[in-house]
Amino acid sequence: MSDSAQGLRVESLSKSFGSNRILENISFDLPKGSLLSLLGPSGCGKSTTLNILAGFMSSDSGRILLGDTDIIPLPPNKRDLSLVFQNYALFPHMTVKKNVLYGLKPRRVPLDAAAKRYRTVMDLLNIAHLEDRHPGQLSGGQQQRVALARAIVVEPSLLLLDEPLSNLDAALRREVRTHIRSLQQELSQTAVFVTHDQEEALSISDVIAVLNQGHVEQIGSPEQLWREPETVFVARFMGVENILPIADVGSIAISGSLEAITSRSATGDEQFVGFRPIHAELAEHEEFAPSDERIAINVDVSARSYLGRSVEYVCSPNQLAGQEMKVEVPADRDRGFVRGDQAVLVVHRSNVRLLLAEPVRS
Amino acid sequence: MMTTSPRLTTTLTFVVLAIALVPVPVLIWTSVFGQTYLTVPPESYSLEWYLNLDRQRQLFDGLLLSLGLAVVAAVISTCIGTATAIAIRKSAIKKNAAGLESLMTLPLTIPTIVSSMALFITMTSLGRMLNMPITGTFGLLLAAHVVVTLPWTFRIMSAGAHGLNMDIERASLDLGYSRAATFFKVTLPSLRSSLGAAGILAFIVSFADLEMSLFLVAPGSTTLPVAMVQYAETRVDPALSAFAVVQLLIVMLLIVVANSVLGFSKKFAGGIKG
Repeated sequence: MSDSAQGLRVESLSKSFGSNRILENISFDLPKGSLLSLLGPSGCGKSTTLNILAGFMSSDSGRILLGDTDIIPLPPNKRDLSLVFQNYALFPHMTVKKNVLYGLKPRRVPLDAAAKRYRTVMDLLNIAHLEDRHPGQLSGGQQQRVALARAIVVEPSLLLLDEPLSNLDAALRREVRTHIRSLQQELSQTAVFVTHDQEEALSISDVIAVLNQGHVEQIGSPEQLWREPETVFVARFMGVENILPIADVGSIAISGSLEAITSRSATGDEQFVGFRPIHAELAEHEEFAPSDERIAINVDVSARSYLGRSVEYVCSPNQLAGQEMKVEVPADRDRGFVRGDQAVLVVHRSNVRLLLAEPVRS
Repeated sequence: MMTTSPRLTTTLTFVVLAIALVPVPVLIWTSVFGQTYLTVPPESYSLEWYLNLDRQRQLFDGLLLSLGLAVVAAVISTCIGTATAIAIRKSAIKKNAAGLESLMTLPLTIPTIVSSMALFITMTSLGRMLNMPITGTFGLLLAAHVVVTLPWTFRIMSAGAHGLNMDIERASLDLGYSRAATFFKVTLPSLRSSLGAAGILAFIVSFADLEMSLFLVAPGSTTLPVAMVQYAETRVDPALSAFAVVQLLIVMLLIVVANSVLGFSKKFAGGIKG
């Protein structure tokens, strides 16, 4: 593959602990200079994948091609990559300067080139003034930038980032996120970013691989995943909060034809439909006009929360006990339903997505 | 629960300190008495005991032996303690870690004099069986001192290793350093304040040890504490006090030097903020 010759190619990585399958056939391609996020809840295998990429853990089978070489047989220090740790892992006994310069020596970078790279990176990350401090004297955000500097100054073929933002407070997290992305693009740095945060993955990635229970559930660009989630799991992760079995919707809908939706199916295997709270609206019984285009369900309003820009309703379909659905209405179009009101939940069929219970295994 | 007032706590602290430390000035005072018998007030003052330390052959040789023994024992004990602590911290035997840790400190529960006697009896029989001298050798004395100091060095290194963020080793590996280079460039230096503390404590325990040495020293070549006991059996005079003060000064000097060289300073103790 010439287009990914300089990038990263992971082929069917598998890993088990005893009878416990941690990773099953993880495969993905990452062109040089782009950033892939491994997204998933804890225990989905994203950290295991990262550890195998870095060489801290062995895999049972599979290949990892970095450029043209399979790096699986290589020890961590012979793989041309660097890792940014969740807890930064700065060397506590070294100054910031020594921390950042640490990786240049084994790579035999000539002194003048090393000095130049060091200056550039320290300026890029805006930490030049901290060079004589020890890690213990830095704030979390500063430590994070030093860790990033230490990892990118060696110009690795692959940069690995292990939830690097999770120890920062919310405001700083956004700022650093943007910074990491622009830095990665500026340096054309191939990178793998591990996160459990959907928003983080969407904002920073070229490609996202959603992991669930050790397998890749879906892989695609942020836009693809957001607009076209294929499975229930991915849809939930992408904010499609209302998910119902197709059969249930068919039996309780008071308006709209499901056939127009199910006919879009390529495989016919989908068993669920889903839609986002922002795509639904609530209407009064009297004013609602049935049409083929609009799927409608009778619901009881059970909660209303004012969110400023919008109002979020929680309601439950009359005929489906225990099922909760969310509707988010722009504040200026809110009708002021209160708990206990009867209403009609309406969603346009173009906003309804067909979902698989599980990904199709090849 | 009874609440203690801060003033009471402070007062108690000073009382305890006073009890512990008052004999020290007395010791220093008696070491400069001008006569060979201890009467208060002294007839005159003199520094001759310090100037002529080497005239007390047995005590002086004891001092030299104790110094050498303590240095070597502290180094060996710190090495073993460090290796064990790191191994337990990193290894797959983690679930047995608590058990191993108590095992390492088990010697503390046996009165040292008992260990010493047991070692003496065992090694004498073994020596007879192998037809070679074991008791009375420097090797056995050294081994015994390593044993007696090991629980301390292990405890300190274990605490240090627990505070160590093991990701720093991984960071060093993926930045291109081998395991060995990582150990010497990252792991050991990060533990240096613990190493300093462990080494000093081991030195002090060995340097001041009486019970372990009692059975194991060779006749005519004893450690300072043993020599002092033997000396005091016949007389107590300012020379003995002078040696005690020298002993004290060596330990104090060591602590001061270690403090400045190893830099147990605030910035270092702070470590990495989470």
